Amino acid sequence: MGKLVKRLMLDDIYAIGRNENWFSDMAKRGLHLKKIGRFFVHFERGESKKTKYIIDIIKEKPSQEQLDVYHDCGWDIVTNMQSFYIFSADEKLCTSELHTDPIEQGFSLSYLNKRLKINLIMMSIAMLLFFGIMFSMFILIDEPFLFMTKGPFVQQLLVIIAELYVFYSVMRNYVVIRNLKKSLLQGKAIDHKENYRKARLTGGILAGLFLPLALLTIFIPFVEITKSKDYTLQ
Amino acid sequence: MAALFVLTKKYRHDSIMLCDISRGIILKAGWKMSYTSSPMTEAMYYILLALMNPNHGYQLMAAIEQVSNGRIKMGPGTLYGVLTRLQKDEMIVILNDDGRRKTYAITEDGRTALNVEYKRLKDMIQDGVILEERS
Repeated sequence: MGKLVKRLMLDDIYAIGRNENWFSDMAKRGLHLKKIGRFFVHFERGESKKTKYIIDIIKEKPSQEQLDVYHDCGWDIVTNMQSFYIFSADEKLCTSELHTDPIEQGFSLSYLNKRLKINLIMMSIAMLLFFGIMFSMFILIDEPFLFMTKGPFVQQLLVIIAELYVFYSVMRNYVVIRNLKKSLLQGKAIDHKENYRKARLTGGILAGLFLPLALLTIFIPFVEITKSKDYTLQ
Repeated sequence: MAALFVLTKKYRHDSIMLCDISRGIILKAGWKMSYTSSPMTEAMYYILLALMNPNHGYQLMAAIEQVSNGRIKMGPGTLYGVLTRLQKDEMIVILNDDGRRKTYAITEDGRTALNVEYKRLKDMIQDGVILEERS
């Protein structure tokens, strides 16, 4: 077994075509996909190979018979993250594409599309409640401008920014899957060679900005406690 | 004529909708299955057609290629996606499952849906005769 190499998952797993292309390019550079997580992707170092990758969204775990038929057609399961199953095939040995009917593939996204829609509705309600609480707290204070100069205000501001980013991510994922489903139902197949570089760069910049912000929201209360005389948060 | 409304499950979208059967929106009144007037996909049509003879996964792919005279080479992902959906819609059933291999067969509902689709396609071909007359 070759050495395992970790890379940051700078793009969303929902960007199917982009990730498939990235995994294929990594395989050409001798890094073969092994495992995928929310933040990191694990590759095994080996020889350069032309490999096709397909990210399939399957509601229920595929049966052994299904995996055997996939194998007979040149496709093997690599890993999965929740409903996202990743299959790979050697470009020379692959006898058939995994999906040959975009409309049918579009139907398979109905479940995920529905789940993401519910997530977005729940998140919107939570955001409304969150902003309501934040706003009322600010209004109920006797000296709001004085409050702005103190530590808790900075922390609350950072929490708002972090929450807005989470909300944006949930909304973006829903829009991506909805548009993908729509385009598949119109008969347009997924572009397995979609450019990933720009999206990974943007993802990297956003992660570089928001991760320190999220960490700051955790550390500010501790700084406040150490600075206060009675060692409790007020 | 008074409109007669029934509740049915809309094919492909898993949503409940109200249909006016007096206007012929539903293909068959009292049909418990979810298939309505939407046209079938090519993959669905050929899988149902190939399942007129009970079959299992890999052989089914070969049967589809055979029944379509080599025109359709179905991918395994498409095949299993359609099989799962057809099973859910009760258009096919598993006849035998020995743990390694499942044998699928078409149901009466599946056969009816296939016949309706066949009639629709035949009507379309007949309507298209005008093209041959003008060429």
